[in-house]
Amino acid sequence: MTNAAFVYKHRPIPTLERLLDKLRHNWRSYLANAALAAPLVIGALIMFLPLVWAVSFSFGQPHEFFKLPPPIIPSALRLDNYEAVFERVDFFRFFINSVIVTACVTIGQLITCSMAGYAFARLRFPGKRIIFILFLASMMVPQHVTLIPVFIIIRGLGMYNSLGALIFPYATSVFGTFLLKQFFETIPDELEDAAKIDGAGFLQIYRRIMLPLAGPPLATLAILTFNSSWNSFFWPLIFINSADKMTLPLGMIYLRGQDGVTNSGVLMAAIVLNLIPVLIFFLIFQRRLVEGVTLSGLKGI
Amino acid sequence: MSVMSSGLRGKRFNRLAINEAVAGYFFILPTLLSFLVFFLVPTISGLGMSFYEWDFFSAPEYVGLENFEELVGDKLFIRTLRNTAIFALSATALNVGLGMFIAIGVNSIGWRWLRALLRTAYFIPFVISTVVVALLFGFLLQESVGVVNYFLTRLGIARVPWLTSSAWAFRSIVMIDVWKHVGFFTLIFLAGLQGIPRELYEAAVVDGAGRRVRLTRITIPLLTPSLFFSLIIALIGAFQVFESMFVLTNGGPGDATRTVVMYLYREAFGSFNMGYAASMAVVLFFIILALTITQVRLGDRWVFYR
Repeated sequence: MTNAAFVYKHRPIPTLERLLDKLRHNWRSYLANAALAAPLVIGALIMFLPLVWAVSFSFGQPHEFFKLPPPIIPSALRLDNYEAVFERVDFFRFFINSVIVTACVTIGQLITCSMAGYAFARLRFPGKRIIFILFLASMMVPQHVTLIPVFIIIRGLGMYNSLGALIFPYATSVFGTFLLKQFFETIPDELEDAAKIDGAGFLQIYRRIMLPLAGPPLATLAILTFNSSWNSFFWPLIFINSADKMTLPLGMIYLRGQDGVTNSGVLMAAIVLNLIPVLIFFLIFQRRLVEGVTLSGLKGI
Repeated sequence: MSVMSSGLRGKRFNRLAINEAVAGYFFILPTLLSFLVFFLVPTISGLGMSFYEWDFFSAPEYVGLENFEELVGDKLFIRTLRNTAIFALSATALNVGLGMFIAIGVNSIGWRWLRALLRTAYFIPFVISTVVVALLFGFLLQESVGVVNYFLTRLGIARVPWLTSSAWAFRSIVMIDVWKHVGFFTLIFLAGLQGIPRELYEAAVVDGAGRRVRLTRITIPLLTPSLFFSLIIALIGAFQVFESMFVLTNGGPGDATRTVVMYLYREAFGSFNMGYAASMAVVLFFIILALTITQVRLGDRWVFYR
C-alpha cells in the first residue's frame, strides 16, 4: 500500500509487554493462516497427484506395470516406454506439426487482430458499426453450426488433410480484434495527430506508433492463442486423416489406437512428453497467461 | 476522429475521408474475409442445411421442417440433450462454486508466497490439453488395476467402476472437467476479489462487522459480476462438451455419456446425415442463445454493479 500517512505515523517504543503482545498476535495469525491454508493445500496436492503418477508410471516396465502399490517414485529410471513411443509413431512429426500450426496461427492472429483492432478503434469507414456488431455476435454462435459448411469449404479450397486447414480458418480472431480495439482506443489522439502532421500515412501510423505501443495486449493475445491452438482437437479430428499431418492431441489418440498401447506405460510416457513443453510454456509465461485470463474475464468477453 | 480532419471542409475533406475509409477496409480485410468465408457463409448455409436431407454425395433434397420433427421423436437425441444439460448444469455449478470458494480461501491467506503457489497449482491443469487429461484419467481410473481404486481398497472402500458403470462414468467425466477447469474460474474470482476496495473492509471492521458479515455483505455481493460472467461462459462451454467423452468413454457405457455434439459428429461424419446433423447444431445454438439471454435478463436482478 502506498499510503503516505503511514510513513509519518508515530511509532510506539517497544516495551516487553508490547513485544509479547505482538508475538502472541503473530502466533495467532500464523495458526489462523495455517488452518485456512491446510484444506486448500490438500486440494492442490490432489490436483497435482495425477501428474506425478503419470511421470512415475512412464518410467515403469511393462511387466511390473500392474504391480501395486503404485510407486510414487519409480523404482528405476527406465526409458523403455519413451523409446517405445518413438518406435510406435512418428511422435517428432506430431510435435513439429503442432509447432508449425501453433506458430502460424499465433503470428497470423497478432497481425490480423492488430490491423483490424486499429481500424475499428481509430479509423472511420462506412459500415464499421454493423461489421463490429456482427463480429461480436459471432462469438455467441457455437462452432458446430459451421461444422459441415466449413468442412465443405476446406475441401473446396483443396486444404483437406493439410496443415493449412488448421491454420487459415484460425489466423484471425474476433476476440483478439476486440482486445486490440479496446487497447488502441486508449492511445491519445495527440500521438497520431503529430504523425499525421509529419505526413505519415495510416500504414505508417499503424506500424510506427500503434504496434510498438501494443506490446502488452499482443503478448496476452499471443499466449491465449498459443494455448488454445496447441490444445485444439476437434478441428484436426475433422480435417486430418493421415498420421503425417497430425498434431499432438490427435497424434495421442492415434498412438492409443496402436496395439497394446491403451492404458500402458507407453501412453504415460507420451503424456509426459506432452506435458513437458506445456509446463515449460506455463512457467515462462505464467504471469502473462494469468493476466490474459483475468483480462478476458474482466472485460466480460 | 482527430482534430485535423474535423476542421476541414469540402473537397479536401472528402478526399481525406475516402482515404481513411479505404485504409479502414484494408486493415480489416483479412479478418473480414475470414469472417465471411469461415463464419458468416457457413453459419447461414448451416442454418439452411437443416431444412435439407443430404448424404454428402447425391443432391440435397429440401424437406422443410422434417429434420426438426424427427429430432423431437428421436429418443437418442433427447437422451443426448438430457446428458448434455445435466453435464452442463453440474459441471458449471461445481466449477463456478468451487472456483469461488477456492478463490475466497486463497485470497484470505496471509502469506503472499502461498497465495501465488496455490493459484499456480490450481491453474496448471487448464493449460494441459483435454485429450491428454482424458487419457491420463482413463489410465488412473481403471477399475481393476487403476491407481485410484488401489488406494480406495487400501482404505477399505470397494472398487468403484469409474468408467464402466453408467452413473459413475458420468460423474467421473464431470469430476475430470472440474479438475481441468476449476483453476480458470478461481483466477476469474481472484481478479474480482482484487477489485474490491480495502476501505470497505476497514470501514466494516470499524463498524464491528465480523468475518461472516464481511463475507456475506461485502465479498459476495461485490463478486457477483465475476459470478455472472463465470456462469455465462461456463454454461456456453459446457453445452458444447465433446472431447473428454469422445476420448474417455466414446459415449458409453450404452449412451450414458453421449452428448449432443458427439451425436452430431457421428451423424455428420459417420452416417453422412448432413442435414440431420445440421439441425442438431441449430437446436444447440438456440438453446445456448436462450440460456444466455435468460441469464443476462436475470442478471439485472442479482448482479451488483458499483
